[in-house]
Amino acid sequence: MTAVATRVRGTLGRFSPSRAARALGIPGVAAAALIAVVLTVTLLAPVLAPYDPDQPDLFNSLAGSSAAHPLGGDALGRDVLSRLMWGARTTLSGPVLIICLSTVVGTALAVTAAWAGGKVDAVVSRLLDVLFAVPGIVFALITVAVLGPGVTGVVLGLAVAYTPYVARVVRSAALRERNMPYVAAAWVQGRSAFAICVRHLLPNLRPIIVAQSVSALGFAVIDLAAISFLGLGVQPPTADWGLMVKSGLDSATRGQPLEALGAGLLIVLVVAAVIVLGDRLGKEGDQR
Amino acid sequence: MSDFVIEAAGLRKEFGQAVAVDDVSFTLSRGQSLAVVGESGSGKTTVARMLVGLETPSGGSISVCGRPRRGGRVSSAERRRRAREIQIVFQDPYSSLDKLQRIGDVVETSLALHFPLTPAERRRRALELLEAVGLAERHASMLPRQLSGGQRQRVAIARAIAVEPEVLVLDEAVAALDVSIQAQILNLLADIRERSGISYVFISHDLAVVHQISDFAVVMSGGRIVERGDTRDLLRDPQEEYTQALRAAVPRPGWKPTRRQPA
Repeated sequence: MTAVATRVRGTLGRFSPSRAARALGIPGVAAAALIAVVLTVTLLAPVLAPYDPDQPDLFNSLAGSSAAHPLGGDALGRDVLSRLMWGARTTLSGPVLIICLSTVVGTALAVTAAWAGGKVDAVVSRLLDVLFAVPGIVFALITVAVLGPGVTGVVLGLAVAYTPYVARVVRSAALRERNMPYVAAAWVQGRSAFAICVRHLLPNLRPIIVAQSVSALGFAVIDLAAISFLGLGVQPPTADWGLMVKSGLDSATRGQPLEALGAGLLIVLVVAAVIVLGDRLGKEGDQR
Repeated sequence: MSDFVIEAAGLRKEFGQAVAVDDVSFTLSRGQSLAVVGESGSGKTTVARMLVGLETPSGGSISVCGRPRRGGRVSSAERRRRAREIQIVFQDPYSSLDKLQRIGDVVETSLALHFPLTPAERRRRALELLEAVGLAERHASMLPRQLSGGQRQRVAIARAIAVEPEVLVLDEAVAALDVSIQAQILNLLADIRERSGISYVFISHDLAVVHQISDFAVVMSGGRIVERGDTRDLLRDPQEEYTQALRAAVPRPGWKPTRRQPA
């Protein structure tokens, strides 16, 4: 009986929607819900989008809202709603890739530095400080200068820029964890450093890594959109929110503000939701 | 070959300018129990950490099971061999277990490192060990936070003896537990010693505890050994002023704290 009860409690302890909701609070749940809606629409864009996002239609050029085109058309008459749906894919996949890269590299650097200590830690920490001092946009400009405009260069540049953002926080948490007696016990038992880092440190650091990467994701969305706005990231005719803000500005001066407004509003909402969620996840991590 | 499981000679440890341990020598015979007594900051925990290889001595030498311990980089195989000679149980039963690791896994990980067992054999052996420290099968699937401090300390002991070491260092291992649980753990340790012939190095500030568990004791103060001898004699008739003060500092029934003169 007790064993069963314990096992049930153990399972519930790991994840339950109501527990997660309570931990996230109302802002966190709202943010998670918004992100879920955006992701669903993004994934289902081929099904949900009423038109081909790249198909010009001169009769719809700079048209306002209508039953056939709820958000009207852009300068080339492409359906704005469809472009926003498809554009979510490029706008969001870039930042996700950036954060995946910087989380993996940043965590590896952070745990190595915290474990090795001494000179290794000093070198890694100084390197992170230097990277941290350079704004992400500058890195992206450097890689774009080398690799030419396009998503690849920007993603690489921003991945480097976001590495210290993850690594610094994870390193200080890893230092705390590394000095716990259970780590010393594992060492005295003869466990290898690698096994201790992978089996003990990483699982215990996971909440902090997740919280930090999610907030970094919010900033990466802004940065990538800004770079596309500048014309160095995603290239036309691909649909992208940052690009749509730019082309939408022209349309707005010619009486069709919905393109720039829609894309701008989506960027703000998604970024705010992601940052709120990251913040709540971080708070939850602190309470454990 | 000598029958000493530990021979420490002229141990010294400096942290920067500070000298934590200075010229500490002692031996421990097989199956015996040695207490290292002293107040906070006397260097006794540093001695424990040097014995198990968590700190490198600045000077002096340590031999465990007749083999000298050299500092510097040590291969994994050598570290595992050393692990089978000496193990440690820490003071704080809360932070000495990974909060995400289930109790059964704690012991099984320890077994997997040292013995070529099939998963089924390992599982059975882990349950035997948990039983040996007074835990039940149902505890194996629990997380540390579901156990009390005393139960967690039993897990830490099971993890250490799973390796079947010659020596077990207990660094204030009962200090964080309340008195009745202390007694249970001390009894458990006495049982284990009787059954397995293991040797203990018992680091403590608590003379009552030391009295129950150890045959010999060394008293440390300011990083040096100030007195040594048979535990019973030492406690009954301390020669050194420091040991007398340490003994007198133990609260007893009827004991009243001496009040300072009001300023």
